Amino acid sequence: MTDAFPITVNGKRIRVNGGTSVAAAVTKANEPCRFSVSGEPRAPLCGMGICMECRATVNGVPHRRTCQIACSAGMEVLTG
Amino acid sequence: MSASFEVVVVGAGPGGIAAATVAAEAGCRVCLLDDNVAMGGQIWRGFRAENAHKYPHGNGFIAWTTRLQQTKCEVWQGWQAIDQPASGVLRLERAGEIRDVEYGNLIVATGARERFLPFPGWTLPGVMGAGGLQALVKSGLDPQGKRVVLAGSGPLLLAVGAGLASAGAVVAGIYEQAPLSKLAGFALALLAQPAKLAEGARYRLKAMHAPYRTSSWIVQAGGRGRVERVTLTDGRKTWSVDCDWLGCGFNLVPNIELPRLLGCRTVAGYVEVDRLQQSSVSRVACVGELTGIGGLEKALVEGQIAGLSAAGRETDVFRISLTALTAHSLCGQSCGIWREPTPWYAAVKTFPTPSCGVAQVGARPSSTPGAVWARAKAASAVQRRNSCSAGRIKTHVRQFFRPLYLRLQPNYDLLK
Repeated sequence: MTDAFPITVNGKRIRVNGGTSVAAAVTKANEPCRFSVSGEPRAPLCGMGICMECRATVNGVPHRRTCQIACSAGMEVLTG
Repeated sequence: MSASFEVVVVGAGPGGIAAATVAAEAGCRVCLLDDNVAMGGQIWRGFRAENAHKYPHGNGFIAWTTRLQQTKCEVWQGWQAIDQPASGVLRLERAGEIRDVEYGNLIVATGARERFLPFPGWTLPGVMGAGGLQALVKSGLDPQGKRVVLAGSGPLLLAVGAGLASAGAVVAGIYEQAPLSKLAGFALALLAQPAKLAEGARYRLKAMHAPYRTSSWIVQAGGRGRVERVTLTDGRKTWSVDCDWLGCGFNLVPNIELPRLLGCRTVAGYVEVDRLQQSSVSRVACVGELTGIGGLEKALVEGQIAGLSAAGRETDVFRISLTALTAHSLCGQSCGIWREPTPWYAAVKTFPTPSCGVAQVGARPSSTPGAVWARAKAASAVQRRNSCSAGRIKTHVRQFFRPLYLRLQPNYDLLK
């Protein structure tokens, strides 16, 4: 693990350790990753890039599988 | 952009790493593709050279990745295979970027995922796969002080419970749906694999504070906006347990999407392969969980077989099978994953990780007791020809115990 650095999740600043996945950071921020078509909150299920439940907008790119991306300093994550 | 390699391996778990390593060592131009942030697949997830020795199975990771780094194998991390635009070409994607890669031989090692069975509330945030929860913790999620319930079926629940407990979580309960009678049968079968039994016992000890109940399963998960409690039943009474996270899983299913896309024939949900791991599609081999759930040791052996075969070194495949069998029957599981590599094994000078995978559990045709028996016979025939009398005695001893041994192979289906 490298030193902790900040990222923002829905505008909330949180500090994460190097090597943390974006899905873990979003879970730490206590935010759901997305909402289903009927408006239910959804969060990571499989944790290994299969289920697509952890999709979120990362640095402006929508529908990224957050469990398959490592956090980097200054990263902006938008869920919902 | 397009690139071309003699051997392309998809998936950098144990099977993929083993395949890429031996193919590269044999002089092939190899590319190892992986969808994750770092290599290791699931069982080696989050391992790095400096910390891996602290984890179970970590020494194998160090041995194999060190060996891989000594080759000229290219590792492409974060790429996902999405299409086959032409025969012999894979199309890859990473963060919107597209790249084509041409292969001479393809080895698919995409592993397995958990089987989920739905129940009311299973989509609530906080409800995860047991392995998924473990994966998130390995990816930096801090479980300190979190109450976790694990439910479903299979040995993975115990492993996850142990992992979470040592990371500081409060395991509020482990609920196995299989009845005790079936588990007892499973444990009895494991007597033939003492190291696996010890592994299970160790996991249980680590999560000793957690109640472990058999014959119980989830009725529903409830909570506002996220999981707060889980309701369970044993068929007679129901009860609720408060939790922050619920990890569930009902054994594993192989990730056969890519083999299917390529047109590989599957039987009962697994890719059908021959003795050299070759699928029904020419130049495409499949290894590891794809060909039958069998875990780390099986993946390492199959990866090496496919890698050697892709490099045109079929004759060496026999050596791998022989070594795997010998390790399996001579030192049994006592030289298994907990003590690798053993001096005896190092003396054989084959590969650094002792493997007992050939006779492992699994549904694929070539690891049925019959096939393993045939291989054992072939192996011992060669040994008889080549070996001194000490070797011959060993062979006889092995032959004597083998039928008993094979009968005692644990059958994970018992837990279903």
